[in-house]
Amino acid sequence: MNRSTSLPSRRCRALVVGLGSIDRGDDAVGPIVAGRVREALQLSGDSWVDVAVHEDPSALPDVMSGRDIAVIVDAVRSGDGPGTVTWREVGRGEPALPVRSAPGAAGTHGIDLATVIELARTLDLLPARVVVVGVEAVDFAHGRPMSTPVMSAVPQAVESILGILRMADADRDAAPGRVSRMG
Amino acid sequence: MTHKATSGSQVLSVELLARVEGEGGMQVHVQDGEVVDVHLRIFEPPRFFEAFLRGRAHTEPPDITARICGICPVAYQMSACLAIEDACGVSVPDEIRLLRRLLYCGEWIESHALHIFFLHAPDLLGYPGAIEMARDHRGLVESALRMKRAGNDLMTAVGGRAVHPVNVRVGGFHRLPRRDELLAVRPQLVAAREEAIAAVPVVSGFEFPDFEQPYPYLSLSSEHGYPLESGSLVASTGLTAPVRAFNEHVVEQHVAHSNALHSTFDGEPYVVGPLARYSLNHSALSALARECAEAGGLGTTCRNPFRSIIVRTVELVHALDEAIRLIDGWYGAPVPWVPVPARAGEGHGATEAPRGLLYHRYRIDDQGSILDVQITPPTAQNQSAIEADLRAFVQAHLDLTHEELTRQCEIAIRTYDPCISCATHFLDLRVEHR
Repeated sequence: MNRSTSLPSRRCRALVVGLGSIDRGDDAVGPIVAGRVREALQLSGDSWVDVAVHEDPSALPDVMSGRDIAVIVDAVRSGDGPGTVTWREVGRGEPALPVRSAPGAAGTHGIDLATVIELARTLDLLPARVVVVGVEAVDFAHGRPMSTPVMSAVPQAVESILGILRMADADRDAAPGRVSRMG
Repeated sequence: MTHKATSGSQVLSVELLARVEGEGGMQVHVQDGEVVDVHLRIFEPPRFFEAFLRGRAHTEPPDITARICGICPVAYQMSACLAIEDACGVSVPDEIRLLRRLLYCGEWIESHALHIFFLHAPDLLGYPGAIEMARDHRGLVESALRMKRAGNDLMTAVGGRAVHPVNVRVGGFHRLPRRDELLAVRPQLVAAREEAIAAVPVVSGFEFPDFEQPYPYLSLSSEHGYPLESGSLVASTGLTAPVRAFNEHVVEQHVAHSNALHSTFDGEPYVVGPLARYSLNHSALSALARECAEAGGLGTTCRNPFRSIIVRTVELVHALDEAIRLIDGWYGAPVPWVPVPARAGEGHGATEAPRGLLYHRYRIDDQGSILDVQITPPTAQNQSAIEADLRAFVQAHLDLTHEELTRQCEIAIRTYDPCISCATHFLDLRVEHR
C-alpha cells in the first residue's frame, strides 16, 4: 500500500507518512491518522504537504530525501498507557536511535523503523527535521479492528501532526524537542 | 567467552538470533570435544493457521494464509490458490499464470534484495549490521534500497499493495493491471537489473568458509522456466514426482525443542531454497542469469550454504529479467479470474517461495467448507538440515574461540534466511560444552 498524494511543494517541503497495516488491529493507526491529516489539509486548502501510507518502512529514505520535515506516525509499544500519543525528534543532528539486534528486529516489515531511520542518517538522506509520532498500541492481531483506546487517540494524533506542520511552516528553525507526551 | 571449545563441557548459545524473521534460538552441546546435541529452538508461538482455516470457505485461504508472513505473502497466496484449484479440478488460463509469475517476481526481488544486502552481506563483510556496513559501502546499500523499491512497486502494480497484496483470489485476480500500469514500473526494473548484475562480482568476491552440504536437495521444476509459480517435484536423489506425492516423501514430526514441525525427505534431512532450486534448475535460468552465475564463479550446482548469497544475487538478476520479459509480453487477459466452483475433494499446491518450496494441501466438502489443511513452509523443512549443518560446522571448527564459533554458527543459520514466523505457523543460539 503506497498511496500518496503528489501535491505541489510550495511553502515547505513537508511529508507525513502513516506507517502500518490497516488489517492488523492497532497497526492501522498510522494509515488512519495519515488519512485524516490528508483530509484536514485538503479542507484547509493547504497543498504544501505530501501525505503517504507505507506498510514497508524501507521506502522511507527515498521518500524523505530532500524534504525539510517528515512526520512519521506509527503504532508503538513503549510501556505507556494504551492510546498515549508521544512524539520524538529523530532528524539530522539528533542522537542516533538504538537499533535492536535481537530476533524480530527485521519484523514483519523486513526492516524496522529505527533501522531505516539510522540507515537514512548514515546515507545523508535524513531531513533536518523528522518527527516520529507514536500511538501506544495494544493489539496487532490480524483482521482485528483498532482497540478503543487507540481509536480514541486518533483525533489527538491528527491535531498533534497538524500542529507540528503549522509550527514548522511558521518557523522552520523550531527548536527540536525530545520525547514528549501530547495532550 | 574467549576459551577454546576443545575440552570439557560447554554450551555455545545465542539467546536471540539477530536479523532473522521471528523468534528462535540455537543450542549446541559439546562434550569432551564432541558435538553431542544440536537444537534449533523455535519459540515463536504456534500460530494455528491450519486449525482456524477449518470450516472457512474454500475461497478464503489466499487472503488468510498471506498473513502468515509479511515477507513472502505471495508464496502463501499462490500455493493456496493452486491447491484449492486442484481440489476443485480447475486450471487457470495461461495469462493468469503469467500474471501470478510476474507478481511472484516482485516478491523475490523484495525478499532477495533485503536478505542479500541487509541481512547476509554484513556477516560476510564483518559488520554487525546494515547501518554499520552503509558507512563504508554506501553505494551498495543505496543500490539495494532501489532494487527493493523496484520489487515493492511491482508488487503494488500487480498485487495492489507492496505488503500483503489484496488483488489475488482463487481462480485469478480481482482486477487485471493495465499495460500502462506495468510499463510504468519497467524503467525501475531495468535499472535494478543493471544494479543486480553489478552486485554479482561484489558478492562473489566475499570470503566464504569451506563447507559442503551432503543432504538431498528438493525443489520444483517447471516447464515454464525457472520454478516460481508452478511445477512438479524434483530432487537431487533423482526423484521426479507430481506435487500430490509430497507427503509420500516428506514426513513432518513434532520435536520437543521447537514450536515448528521438523521435516525429513525419505527419512533424511534435506534442503529447500535457493541452493536446491539453482542446483536442480540451472539450465532453466535466463541466459543473462546464467552468464552472471558463471561470472560469479558458480558451477551448475552449489552445495556451500555460505555461498548462497551469490545464488540469491543470480536469482535476483533472473527475477528482474523475467519480470521485464513478462511485462513486455503482457497485453491483458480475456478474464481476470475464472470460477472455481466447490466440489468435494483434496488438492495439492506448491510454489517456490524466496526461501524455498512451500506446500499446501486442502480437503474441502461439496459446499466448499474446508475440512483439513496442511501448510509446510520452507524454513520448517530446512530445520533438520540447519541442525545437521551446525553439528558438522561446530565439530570441524572447535579450535575457534567460543565467541567466534558462536558468531559463525549464527551466520550459518542466517544463510538460510530463516523465516521463523512462517515456520511456526522460528532464533537465540546457545552452544553448550559439557
